[in-house]
Amino acid sequence: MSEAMHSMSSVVELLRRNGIEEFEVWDGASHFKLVLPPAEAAVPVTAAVDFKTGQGVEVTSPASGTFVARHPSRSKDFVAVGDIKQQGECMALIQIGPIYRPVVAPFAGKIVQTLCRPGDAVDFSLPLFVLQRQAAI
Amino acid sequence: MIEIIQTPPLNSVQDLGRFGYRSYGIGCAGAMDRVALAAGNLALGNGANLAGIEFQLFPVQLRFHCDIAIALTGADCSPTLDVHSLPPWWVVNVKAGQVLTLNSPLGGMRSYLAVAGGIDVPVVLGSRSTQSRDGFGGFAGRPLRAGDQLPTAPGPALQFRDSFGLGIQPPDAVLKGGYHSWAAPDDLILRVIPASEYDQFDAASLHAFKTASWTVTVQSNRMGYRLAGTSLQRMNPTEMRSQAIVAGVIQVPPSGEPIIQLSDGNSAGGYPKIAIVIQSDLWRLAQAAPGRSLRFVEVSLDDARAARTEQAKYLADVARLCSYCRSSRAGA
Repeated sequence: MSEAMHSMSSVVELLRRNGIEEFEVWDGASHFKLVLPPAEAAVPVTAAVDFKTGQGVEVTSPASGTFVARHPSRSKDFVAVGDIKQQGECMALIQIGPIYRPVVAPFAGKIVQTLCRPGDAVDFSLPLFVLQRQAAI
Repeated sequence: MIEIIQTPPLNSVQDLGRFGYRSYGIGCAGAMDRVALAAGNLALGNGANLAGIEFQLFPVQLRFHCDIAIALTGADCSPTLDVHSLPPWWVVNVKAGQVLTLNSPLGGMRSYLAVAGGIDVPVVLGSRSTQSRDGFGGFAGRPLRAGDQLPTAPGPALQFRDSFGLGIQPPDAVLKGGYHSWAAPDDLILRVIPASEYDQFDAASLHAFKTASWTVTVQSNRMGYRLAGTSLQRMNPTEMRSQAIVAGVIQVPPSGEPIIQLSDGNSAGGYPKIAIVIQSDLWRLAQAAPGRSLRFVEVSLDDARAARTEQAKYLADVARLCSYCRSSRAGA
């Protein structure tokens, strides 16, 4: 990913994090405006959850980069469908150049679906997993 | 401060090495896997040469007595912080009182712990590395023991974009190694440049050196690795005067089985030198456990330079992208 993309990604993340939907800069010569769609699932994930029926919640990407399901030093994926993860455990990595940002379980639950394949390019807030709250299992 | 709760022998404080004193018979010491230590330091915003801890034997338990950012690199030792497991090559903030446990790695040999600001042991002869044989440098001039309390330099308090921390892509996933047409998929390929006594070996020995599979024996440590395989012989075995040697030099003693000199190697030696492992491949050897198969492939000086440039670029990329995921908190 290019430097420019990185800068852009970090601006978008800052806006998302602080709930800002519009961002405009101009210096006479140039003019730049960024409008984000209303955050459907801001980070960290707290999308609409139906506790009673135990509907799954989408865990979304914290960054834009490449989806990594298995650490190159390990022989097993971080998670598989059916695994139960505790809150704060690492579920996958997003690779940006030679660094990884973690995808962390927002609450204890069971993984019911993976939505990305290793090597997929992912964007901010792209759903990666469907996690079912432990209370509903 | 870091308290060592449990450690086997031979784990020590190391930086990238003590240079400039070989003429006095003082070797370089320093981390065996310099890429791992440098990457850990750079990920924390430290200078690459700050002191960290090299772990070669496990299990290890440490307790942190201050809030500090740490980086764990090198062999994957299935680290756990209190009860939470961390991925390998991980950078994270720890809190005072937290306990880090490192277990025996399944692959690889040596793990490194770097901390923001570095391990604050005194600089002796220009380095913080432990000179085990001579008993100076590092922490009290010796390997770590249970109960040791390592001082940490006051570094900046760091904050990461994700409270879980961030990972570094291990160099073996990035840096291209050598190519050997006879190598099995698991063989470690070391790129070598012929050394001064190369031409004195007979044709069969030179052929065997470049084609045979060599095995790392249990007589391998920070001083050097002794290899098992074919016997290499010179056409006219004569006694030599001792000459200066550096890490990476492959000596052939009269038994014919080569020894690769490493971080704690001697400053001089009298065995003939058949070749030298390029510096950018020494970290790969540092992670080779006894029993691992090796192959040697001859490369040119230009290839060695290209490998060094590639390694420098990897470390620069790690430093640059980690700084993008990290900020210093005010009032640290």
